[in-house]
Amino acid sequence: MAGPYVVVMENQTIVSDETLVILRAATSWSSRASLLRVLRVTVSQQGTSSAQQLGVILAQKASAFGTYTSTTPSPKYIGTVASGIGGSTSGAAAAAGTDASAEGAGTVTTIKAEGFNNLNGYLWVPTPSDTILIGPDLAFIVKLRGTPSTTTGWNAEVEFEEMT
Amino acid sequence: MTIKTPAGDLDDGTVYDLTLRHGSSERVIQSGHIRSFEQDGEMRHEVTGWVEVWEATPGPERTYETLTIGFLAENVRAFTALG
Repeated sequence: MAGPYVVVMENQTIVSDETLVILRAATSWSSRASLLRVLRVTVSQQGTSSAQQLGVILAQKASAFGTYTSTTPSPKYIGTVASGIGGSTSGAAAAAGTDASAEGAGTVTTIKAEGFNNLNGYLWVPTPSDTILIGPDLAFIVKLRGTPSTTTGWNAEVEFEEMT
Repeated sequence: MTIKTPAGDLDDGTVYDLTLRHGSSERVIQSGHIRSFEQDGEMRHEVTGWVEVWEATPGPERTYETLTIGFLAENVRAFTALG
């Protein structure tokens, strides 16, 4: 078990209904990072002072995956061992990405759907019974629902730990 | 391989300054190295290069970061080959 690690999308210009973060576990049960536990999700905006109500979903994403900015998770305990999850532009196994420019045709299965005010931001910290686990080769996404009036200055992060 | 885009043909292995469409805005990648690969039976493209960050705060805070960004050929707006 290793972590916690955090995948960060920082101050990006986004599009409507965008996948902000994708996190896909490693394929083989015997390899590192094949089972991940999501510890925290945040979404916030710094590009406007105008209020707007938007939706956000936490979901499972099936292949075909979208097109992302490759984003390697950072250890939250600075300087400790790197995550078994790397970065990928294509939703590859054992990899993370942010700020999708194309969503991909794969099915999205929503686990949680919530609304939030962009000025307050969205923070989800699960209680033990609310925990989301990502099994081998499966992908977890944080996806915006709606069209932001201001698309600049968006942040998102997913904090997780490796259970394997 | 050659990537057919609305702005013309790109070759992976060549370095480009590249402008990609991203929703209603654009992303400019400087000195971008292009790589194509197959995943799940689909050809995919990505570019690694300098990208301006802190877009919301132009001025002295502007900085550049090396990012690897996936892109669809149809989203290439413009490019200049650097060699």
